[in-house]
Amino acid sequence: MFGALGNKLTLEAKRLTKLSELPQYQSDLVRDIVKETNDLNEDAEFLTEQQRQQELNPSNEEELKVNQCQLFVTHLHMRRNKRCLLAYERTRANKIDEFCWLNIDPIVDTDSAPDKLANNTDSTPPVSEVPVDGSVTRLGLNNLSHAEEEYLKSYQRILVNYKSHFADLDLSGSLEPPSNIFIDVRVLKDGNEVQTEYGVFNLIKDSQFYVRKSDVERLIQQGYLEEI
Amino acid sequence: MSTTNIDDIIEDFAEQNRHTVKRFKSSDKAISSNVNIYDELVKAMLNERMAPDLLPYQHKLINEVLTKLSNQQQYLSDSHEYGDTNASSGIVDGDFKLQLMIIETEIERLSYMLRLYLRSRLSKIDKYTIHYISETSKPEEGSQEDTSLVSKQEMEYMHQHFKILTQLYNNSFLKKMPHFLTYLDDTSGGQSMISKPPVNNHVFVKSVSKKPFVISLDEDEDLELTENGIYVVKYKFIKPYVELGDVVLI
Repeated sequence: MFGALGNKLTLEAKRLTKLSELPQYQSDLVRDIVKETNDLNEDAEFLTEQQRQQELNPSNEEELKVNQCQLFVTHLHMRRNKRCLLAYERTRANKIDEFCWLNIDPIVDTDSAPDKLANNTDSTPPVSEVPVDGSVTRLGLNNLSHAEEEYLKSYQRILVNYKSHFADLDLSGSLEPPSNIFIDVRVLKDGNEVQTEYGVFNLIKDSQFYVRKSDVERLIQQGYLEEI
Repeated sequence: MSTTNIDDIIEDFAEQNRHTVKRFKSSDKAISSNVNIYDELVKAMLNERMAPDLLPYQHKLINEVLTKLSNQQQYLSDSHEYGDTNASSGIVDGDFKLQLMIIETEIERLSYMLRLYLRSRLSKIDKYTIHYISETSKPEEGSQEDTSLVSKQEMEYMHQHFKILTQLYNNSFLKKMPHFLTYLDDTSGGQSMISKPPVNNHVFVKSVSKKPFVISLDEDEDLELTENGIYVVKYKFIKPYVELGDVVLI
């Protein structure tokens, strides 16, 4: 049925607003919808042609009306398909934007497999601890379509450009009001040595530190540390 | 509550400091004058957060805050150096460290507000991109730098973001569609594709004008706003007064 595919896509778009990760791009569905739209366009052209002929010799008024109605519905469907596609892509683009503000590097194919394995064996994976409130926490590059990858890169460029006007300000920092400059943090993942103005500490899992918040903001966003 | 407390403490320190560390006199001034800009910034930030539509960019205020912020940061790093080199000689005491920490907290707070202000503007720009692009391209042409709706950087951001979005749409599917369906600002077919800010939404406002004044609402209805009164009004009726500063959004 016409429009069913578009509906599927909007449902998918609605679903992904609630996810913390961007799911696979629905290239098949998108392609099918584009095809359907083009088919509809051919229909519309045919109907218009038919209509013109019927107008020349108005023998059957009933048929003319049927034709007009069909043409109208066809046009509506095409527009609806377009809107579904736009809505889907826009939702994904918004997710990508949101992710870009987080300052984290996207996950490349090779990384994601061991990462998932580690999460399964680990009882406290950092990702699942994040409450599902619809905000992006990670992004797999292999889930993006080619055009979206391009978009991600350009948007990152735009952001760097915009941020460069406010050098003293960490624009992608937390949007929660700050309460203390020093906070207690717990290390969630092993990592390298971290150097701060006040000294050096090593990222060893389950250890705790008392550090300056602005120094570790990025590490919290990247999931290495947790504020306690 | 905590705001005033911290301000008090800072005042105290500034007072004490005048006698002890004369070297950093300039910073005392910076701190006390901060209070004013600080209030202004809070107001601008809250207005921007609460308004459904974009408000004119506060060029003067933001520039001033940015300058002050970098001054304070400079002062802070200078003081840290000063503290480090003189720690052993006993010139600096515990209070000095505490004082630096308070300044740092203040800086954090200011940058947080600035961040919130700029980010909420960007989110609105992202949401109603086409609307603002057509809005800014029309009458703003000849007007002055400091009264424009968006800043130069925001303008740049807006246009570039729109460009890559369009590219994304085109590459993903629009180029394969029938030509008459490829417009993004299509208003035919009974539905406009340009989403506009919901200026009909209701907002909470507080009147701060000394004199009571009257605004007109729909169908010859009027509403008188007195000082410190709190009202719920549709945003489109109150918009000019927000820009004048007669009311603040809460």
